[in-house]
Amino acid sequence: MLRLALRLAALALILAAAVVLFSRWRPFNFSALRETRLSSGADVLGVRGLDRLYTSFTLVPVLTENMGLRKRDLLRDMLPFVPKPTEKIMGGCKRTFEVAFGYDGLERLIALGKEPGGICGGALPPPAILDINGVEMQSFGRDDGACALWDQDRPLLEARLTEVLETHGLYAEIQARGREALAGVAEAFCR
Amino acid sequence: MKIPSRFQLLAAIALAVLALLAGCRNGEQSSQRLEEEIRGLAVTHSTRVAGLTMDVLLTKIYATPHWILSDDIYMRTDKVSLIYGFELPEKAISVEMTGGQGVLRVRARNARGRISVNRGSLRTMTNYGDYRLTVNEERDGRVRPVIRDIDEEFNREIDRLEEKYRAKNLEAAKNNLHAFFSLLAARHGLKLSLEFTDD
Repeated sequence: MLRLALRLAALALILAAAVVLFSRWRPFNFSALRETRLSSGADVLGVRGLDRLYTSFTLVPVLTENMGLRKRDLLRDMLPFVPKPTEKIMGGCKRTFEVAFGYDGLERLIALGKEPGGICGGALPPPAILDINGVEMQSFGRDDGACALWDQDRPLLEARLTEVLETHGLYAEIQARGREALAGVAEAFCR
Repeated sequence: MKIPSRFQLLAAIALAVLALLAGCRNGEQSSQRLEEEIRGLAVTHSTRVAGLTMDVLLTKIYATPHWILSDDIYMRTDKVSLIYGFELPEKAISVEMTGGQGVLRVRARNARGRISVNRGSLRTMTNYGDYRLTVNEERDGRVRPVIRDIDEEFNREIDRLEEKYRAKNLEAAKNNLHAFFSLLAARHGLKLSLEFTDD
C-alpha cells in the first residue's frame, strides 16, 4: 500500500514538473515590478519657439497586456467535464510617455487666417502632437519580453497614444482645450 | 518783402504752440486708444493661452508574486489635471511711447505653480476579485500584513510629478504668452517688454 502511494506521489511530481517545464502556463515566470527609468534625450516642452503654442501636456501610460491562466485555475483547466476558466491579465509592460499637444507655425496660421478655411472663418484645426518622449518602462507579472520592444515608429506610436487617450475620455478634452486656445488667438488677430 | 508786424509774429508763434500742443494731445490720445485696444484684446484672449493644463493618466500596478501560491495583479488608473499658468491683471498691460517708439509692457504674475487640481479614478483592474491590498509591516517586533492606503500612495505620486514638471509647465506657459504678445506687438508696430514676476 505504501509503495503504491509513493509511486503515485512520484508520478504526480513528474506530471507537475512536465506541466511547469513544457506548458504554456509557465507559473514560475512571474516577476514583481521591474522598473526602468528612461531618458531618450528628447525634451518635451523644452523646445522654445516663438511660433509655437502649447495647449496641453500629458503623461500617458501605454500598457501591453499578456493574458493567461492564473495558478489557481491550472487544476480546473486540467479537469475534464468542468467549465474551462477564462484567461485573465497575467502581466505585461507599462511604458509612460510625455506628450505635448499644440500648434506649430502660429504666425502662418494667423497669416492664412482670412483665406478660405482659415482660422478667422472659424475653421480651427485640432491641436497636433508636437513632442513625444518615453520616460519610464515597467514590466510586471508574466511579461514575456513585452518591454523588449520600444515603439520607435512615430505614426504608430502617435496612433497608440491617441487610442489610450480616447479610451480614457481625455482626447476630446485635449482637442477642445486646444481649439479654445486657438480661438482666443484668432479673435485677437482676425480683425 | 514785407516785414511782419509784432502782432503777426506773436499770432504765428501762438498758432505754432497750439498746433504742437494739439499734435502731442493727438499722439497721447492715439497712444491711449492703442493701449485700451491692446489691453482689451489681451485681457480677453491671452488668458486662454496663459495657462497650461497637464493631464496625467496615472496607472499603478500592484503584483504580489509567490512562486507557488499566487500570481495576482491589481491595477488602478487615475486621471489628474493640473493647471499651471500666469495671471494677467488689467494693470499689467500698458503701452508707452518713448522716443517715438511704442513699447508694449506686460507684467505677468506667476500664479504660484498649479492653479487647480481635478482628480478622479478611472479604472481598476485585477485578475483576482479578492485581491488583498496589503503590505507587510513590522509592528511590535512582529511582521504583519497591513492594508495599503492606495489613495495616499497616489497623492504622493501626484505630488512627485507636480514637483518634477512644475518648472517645465510654467516654461511652456511663458512660451505661449511670449508668442501671443510678440505677435500682438508686431502687429501694432510696438516693441515688446514682457516680464514675469512672483509678487
